[in-house]
Amino acid sequence: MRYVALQITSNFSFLRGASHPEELIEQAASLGYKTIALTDRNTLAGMVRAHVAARKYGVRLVVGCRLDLLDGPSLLAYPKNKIGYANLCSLLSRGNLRAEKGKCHLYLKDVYAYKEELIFVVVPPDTLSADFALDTVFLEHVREYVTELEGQLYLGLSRNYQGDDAKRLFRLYHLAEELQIPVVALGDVYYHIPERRALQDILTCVREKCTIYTAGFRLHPNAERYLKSQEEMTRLFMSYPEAVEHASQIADMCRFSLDELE
Amino acid sequence: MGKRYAVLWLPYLLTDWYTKHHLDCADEPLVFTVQLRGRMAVSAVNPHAEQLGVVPQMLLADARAAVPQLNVLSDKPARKDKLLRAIGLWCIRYTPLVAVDTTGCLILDITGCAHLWGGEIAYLQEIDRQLCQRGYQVRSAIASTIGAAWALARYGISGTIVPEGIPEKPLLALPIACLRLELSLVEKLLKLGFRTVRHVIGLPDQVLKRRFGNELVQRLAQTMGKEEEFIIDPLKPVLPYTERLPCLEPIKTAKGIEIAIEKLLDKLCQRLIGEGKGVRKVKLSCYRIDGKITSIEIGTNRASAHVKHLLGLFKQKIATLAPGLGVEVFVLEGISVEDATPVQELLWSGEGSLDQEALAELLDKFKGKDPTCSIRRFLPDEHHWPERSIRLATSLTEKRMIAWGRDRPRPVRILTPPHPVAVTAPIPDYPPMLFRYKGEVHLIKKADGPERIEREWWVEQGEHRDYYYVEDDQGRRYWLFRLGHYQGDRSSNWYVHGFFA
Amino acid sequence: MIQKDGVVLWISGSDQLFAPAMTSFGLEPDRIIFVQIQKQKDLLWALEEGLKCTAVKVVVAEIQEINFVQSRRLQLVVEKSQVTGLLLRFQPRVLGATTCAVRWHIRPRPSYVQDNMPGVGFPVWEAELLKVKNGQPSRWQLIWKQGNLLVEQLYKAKVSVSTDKRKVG
Repeated sequence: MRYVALQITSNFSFLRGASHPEELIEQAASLGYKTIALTDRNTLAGMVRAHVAARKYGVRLVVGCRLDLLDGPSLLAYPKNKIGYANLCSLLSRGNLRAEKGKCHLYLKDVYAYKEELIFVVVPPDTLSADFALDTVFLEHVREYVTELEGQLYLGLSRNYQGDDAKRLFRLYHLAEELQIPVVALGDVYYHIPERRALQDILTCVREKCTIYTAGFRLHPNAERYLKSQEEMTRLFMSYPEAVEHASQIADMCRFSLDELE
Repeated sequence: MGKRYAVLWLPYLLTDWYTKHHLDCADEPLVFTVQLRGRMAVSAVNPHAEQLGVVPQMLLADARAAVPQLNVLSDKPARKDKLLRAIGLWCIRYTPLVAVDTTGCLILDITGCAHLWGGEIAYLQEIDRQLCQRGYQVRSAIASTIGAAWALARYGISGTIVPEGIPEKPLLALPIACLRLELSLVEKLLKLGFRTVRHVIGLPDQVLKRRFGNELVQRLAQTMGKEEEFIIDPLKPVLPYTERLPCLEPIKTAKGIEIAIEKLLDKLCQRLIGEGKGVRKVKLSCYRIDGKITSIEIGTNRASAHVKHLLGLFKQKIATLAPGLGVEVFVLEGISVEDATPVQELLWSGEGSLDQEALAELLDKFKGKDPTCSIRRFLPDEHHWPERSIRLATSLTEKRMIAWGRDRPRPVRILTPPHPVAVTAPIPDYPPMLFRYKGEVHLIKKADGPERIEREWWVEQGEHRDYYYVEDDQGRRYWLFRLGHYQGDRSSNWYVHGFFA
Repeated sequence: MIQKDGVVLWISGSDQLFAPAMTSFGLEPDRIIFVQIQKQKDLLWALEEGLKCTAVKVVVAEIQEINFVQSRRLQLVVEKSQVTGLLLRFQPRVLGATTCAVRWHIRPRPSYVQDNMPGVGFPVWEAELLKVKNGQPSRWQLIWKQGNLLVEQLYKAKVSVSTDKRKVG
């Protein structure tokens, strides 16, 4: 089973992603991906463009969305079918109506209300505490997710090259084992090639209303958030091969396509 | 108190200078000559030559005719000016404001200085005596205006001190030239019978202006104090926070110097405190009886007006002073003066809070003892790149704007620049298995990483660093990094950047 | 160990100390004033002056050699001012007698790993108590974990004066 990139942020996530959906899909195709997902933050606005590009480059698009909640850790959501898609749209509408134009306020209860026919992946935290443990608030929430989203939940694993990857993955894997949920390998992608890092830094500055010189720690220390090849992703998760397999598994389960809407 | 000026006129400056070094010429007529309009003319004479009728401006040929046994020396241009300047600078021990005027006199603004020598009479006597001892004849006078002092020094009785107020009376009998007028104007006045000051003093300004122009009126006004005249071009710019201390007996011992410094500091600090200021740099100049000047300078971390603290800093350097046969005048100058904020806010609240003053003084002591020592305090800076993650604090009190990062391991000691090491590591970016440093091979048992830190592209270009926190079999922990990616056939650049506890 | 407030004066002959590392020991690095002095003689003098200064909570000095007379001088100063002084001696040629109240020999030890986690664990040191007033020399294991120093006594051993090259810690 080959790796599938399930966590991708395009420039439709306002001031966060630095590449167009077309660029991302094109790059994926050139790297040999057969399937790829798009998970913009609290929006499906880029999906049409992505769909068109996917058709053009001969790649299957998995529809997805990153749900940034106001009261819990973020979740990636993928509709399995048309029903799941409708639920996802309703969920996002709830959030949009609640907030001022351009914003989307989502709560856990919204997710639980519209969870049918969706696959969820918990976005893992970036850091461990000083004693190499996961944050206790995060742990509590994950336990709740396991209860509420039973059978539909995966725990994401990611490598951010900030020195403690091995320890983080260890902790996350053991948490998943304890909670009896499967793990899935993620690459938190914000741009299609590493050279786009500078632009992404600038977008951060615009978003944070600061200059590049004063942005400081708001900028990512490295340029690892580009779309990596399947071979590289497999290597990065060498110690957890099932996480790579599960990425394919999710892609297989989630076969909804925008074509079904016509 | 009104201004007081002293003017010193050295009538035989050049010849006195020569005679100092050639005592055998003292009793003989002596002149200096210079080229004047293509012919040799006399520029300076000594008293003997003068008595025999030789005067400056006279042609050498005529002078020789009058006095066959004349000693003739050629003058160098600007020699007189140089001499005068040198003597002027020497006079700074008596007052900070000294100027050289175009006629070859020294003008001293002695306002507020004479009392240090016990009054103006003693002051003037002291200056005269010192100059005489050095072989120079001098005529001097003190008055409330430059003009009056000048007039009396040149044309009056040497040593005249005119009390405060309009110096009219003593000037009345003096020749008109004492008003520092152009030669042509003096000739004109003399032709018309205006021979002394008395002749012009009564006349109304309008009349004088009409007949003789502005100059006469202005000079009269200046001399009588109706118009102000200052020293415009002092030899040395004056520092406002200066104290001087003349000594009855020349001081040679360290203890004596210390006492002198303390007295000066008392005065200086009193003034500073009164104005809410403190001093950052202070210079002590010691004027020795042989004419040489030796000095020491101290610096502080914060503006201070603490006598004890500043004295302590000076004490560390007294040994470097060379008092020679003795110091006769001490001058203390506050070179860098700042507002001194009262020490009220504390650096850190809670028990054992910082006493800013005591700490600053301690650090000043360190610097005084060893100026090459470095005293640094660090604050966090928002940069991922390790060398830029800290910045130097500019003061003891500067607060940090962000929190210190706590989630990444950082070594206690860091090498600047990082040292290259030979490393064996599985490609492409797994932690190293062993490394060789300073001849010793370290087997790595545990390692974290890579922590990939890219260059901050808006600051510099270059390869990224992959950091590894490694521990060898003995528990020693190191911070290694590889510069850039593993490059295939080319061997990678590995470095040790620091050591953990 | 070192309290959370007050000024720490750190005097050494090198400029290699990296302030951010101090956070991993619970110290606020901006409370530390780093003084770098080249000459050993001046270093000792600075140490003494620092110990006299009541504005300072702790003085840490990295020195190579100190003799009995010098240490006694410092002891007298400290008794009066109540400032804590820590001498870090690196590579001493001879570990002679001094009047310090307590003397430790610190060695790094393999880190403590919990739950078989990969990578480097909590830092560990072995501290040999060479000398203490009214006490027995003995060895301890120190682990820095979760912001605290855990101490575990290993065993009471005979005093062995060691001249190992030791990492400063």
